[in-house]
Amino acid sequence: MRAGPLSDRRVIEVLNRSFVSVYINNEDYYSKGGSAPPDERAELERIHQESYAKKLAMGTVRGFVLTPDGHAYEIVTGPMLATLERMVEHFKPTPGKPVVPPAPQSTPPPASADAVTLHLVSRGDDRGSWAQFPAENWIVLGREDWLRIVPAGDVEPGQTWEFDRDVSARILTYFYPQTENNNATIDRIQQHLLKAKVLTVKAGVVTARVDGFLRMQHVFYPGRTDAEPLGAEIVGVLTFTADQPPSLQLVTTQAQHGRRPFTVAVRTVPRMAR
Amino acid sequence: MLHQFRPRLTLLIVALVLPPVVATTWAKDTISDAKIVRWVEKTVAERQPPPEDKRFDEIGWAPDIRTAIKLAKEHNRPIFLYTVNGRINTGRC
Repeated sequence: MRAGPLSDRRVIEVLNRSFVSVYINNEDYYSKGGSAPPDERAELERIHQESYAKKLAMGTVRGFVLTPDGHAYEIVTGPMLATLERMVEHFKPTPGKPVVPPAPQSTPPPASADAVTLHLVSRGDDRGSWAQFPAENWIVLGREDWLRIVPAGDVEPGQTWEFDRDVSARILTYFYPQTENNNATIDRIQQHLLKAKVLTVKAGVVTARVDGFLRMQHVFYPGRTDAEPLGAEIVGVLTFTADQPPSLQLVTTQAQHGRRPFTVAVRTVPRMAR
Repeated sequence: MLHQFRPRLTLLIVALVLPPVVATTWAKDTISDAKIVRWVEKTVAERQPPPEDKRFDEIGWAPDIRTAIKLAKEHNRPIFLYTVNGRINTGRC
C-alpha cells in the first residue's frame, strides 16, 4: 500500500486535509517483547473486537477507518481514494491542514555523542511489489565498536588491516534486498570480510579504501526454511582522525540474492544531522 | 551503475556455489585507488531514495493510536489506521 495509494498525491491530500492518520507495526502490539505499551495494545484490541462485531473484513494488514471518537467504522477493501472520499462525505470533517505536520518517518535512532550512526539503503534491481521503494536500516556503532574498525596508533599509506569480524557482521547482516522476512540475525552469515588499506594521510586525516565481500543465506518469507544464497562484493571509504569517530561509506559493486540482483549503499550520518 | 560490472556477475554467481575460498577473491581491484573515493561518494549519493520513494513521508502521521484518537476528537476528523507487519517506514516490511 505504501507504493500504491499511500504514494498517490490525491490520497495524501485527502488524508492530510480531512483525516487523522496513524500506522502501526503489528509486531510492536502482538509480540511478547513488542514496544507498544499495554494501553496502546488495549486500544488496538478494542478496535479489532469492534470490527469483528460489525463483521468487517478483518485481517492483520488492513486500512481501518475509525469514527472521530475512535470506534471501528469501515475497513478499506476497494479503491482507497473512493473510500476516503465517501468517508469524508459521511463524517463531514472541516477541511484543514494536517493535524500532525508531515515529517520523515525513517529517522536515526538515539545514539550517544561519540557513536557512529550508519544509514543503509538497499534496493532490488527489479521493480514490482517488492522493489517499488528501497529498504533502509540504521546501524549505531558505539565508541567501543568503531574503535575495533580503525587501527590504533600512527598509520602510513599502504598499511592494511581487517575490520573486527563481529562489528563488520553487524553492518553486513543488513545487506539484503527488500524481502518480507526481516529477521537479520548475524548467524545467517557464512563468510564475510571488510579489509582497509590506507590511501593518504594528510594533516592527521586518514583516508582508506575498503574492500570486502559477504556470503550468507537469507529467507524471503518469514517462517520459511528455503533460504537462498546471497553474495555481495563491497567497496568503500573509511576516513578518520586519531580518537575521533570515523566516517564510513560502503557500496556493493555486485550483489545477488538467489537470482535477484540488488544494490546497497551505506553512509555515515553527520553528527549534526542526528 | 551495475552494468559497469556486468562481466563480474559470472564470477559472483560462480562464487556462490563454489567453495568459500573463491569468495575471498571477489572484491579485489574493482575500482582503482585513484578513483575509489569519488566513485564511492557518487554511488552512495545515487542510491539515496529519491523524493518519489518518500511520498509516504508527506502524510502527517500521528505517533500512536491513542494520540490519533485524541487529535481526532479535538478536530472532529475520522481516523485512518493502517496496520502492517514489519516496518513500513523503513521499507523492511
